[in-house]
Amino acid sequence: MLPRNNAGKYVGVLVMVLLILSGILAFFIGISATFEHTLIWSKWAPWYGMSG
Amino acid sequence: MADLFMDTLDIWLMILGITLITAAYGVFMNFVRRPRIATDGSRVETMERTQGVAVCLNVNKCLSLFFIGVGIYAMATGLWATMTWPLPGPYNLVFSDAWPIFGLVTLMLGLAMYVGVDLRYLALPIALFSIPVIVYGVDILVHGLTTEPLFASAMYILLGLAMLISQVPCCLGIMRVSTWVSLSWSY
Repeated sequence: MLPRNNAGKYVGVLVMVLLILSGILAFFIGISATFEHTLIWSKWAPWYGMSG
Repeated sequence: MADLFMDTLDIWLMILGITLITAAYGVFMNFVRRPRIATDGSRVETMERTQGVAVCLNVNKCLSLFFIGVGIYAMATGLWATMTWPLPGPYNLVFSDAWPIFGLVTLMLGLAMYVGVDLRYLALPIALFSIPVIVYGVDILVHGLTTEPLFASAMYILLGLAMLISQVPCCLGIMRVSTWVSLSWSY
């Protein structure tokens, strides 16, 4: 029983780390892309408050 | 203005981040955490089994609703994007085409968790679905796609590795993933 637990736990921790790292990267890319793309689109409709 | 396009990618990426971190939470609750049952302060195996299953069933049931919801959304928007190619050329290959696959796997996982079937039988298809994910990751790096090719490819490759590695114990029979529940029995 015990080795099974430990093996499962270690693999679980490894999977968690991989998932969290890729999740953080997804957030990072998504957030930076949001700012870049919103800037481009805001120039398309300057009459809604875009100054430039 | 030439670079304007239908851009749903931003929210997709953030939803991906939400889903991956939620999945990590599910892994923690089911595989890593060792529930300590406190009826009399001792760790009685039978009590742990009973309580552990009850707790994990609730967690998995709730998480399954999240996965089903995200899976339906990703499938619907991903199929639309696959058919319409709203992004600039190559980005449709690495993002639009990968998104419905993510939706399919998420929906499959959510439904299996909801029904409560033994997830070991999903081990093979999920491990195989890691292949396109890793291929897209390498592809992004090789062709320098996105403004952050290193981060974007790392995101794909790490996710692919997580899909691949998480199946190894299942295939070996070390870790039964019957809706992530049976593992808690052994704690």
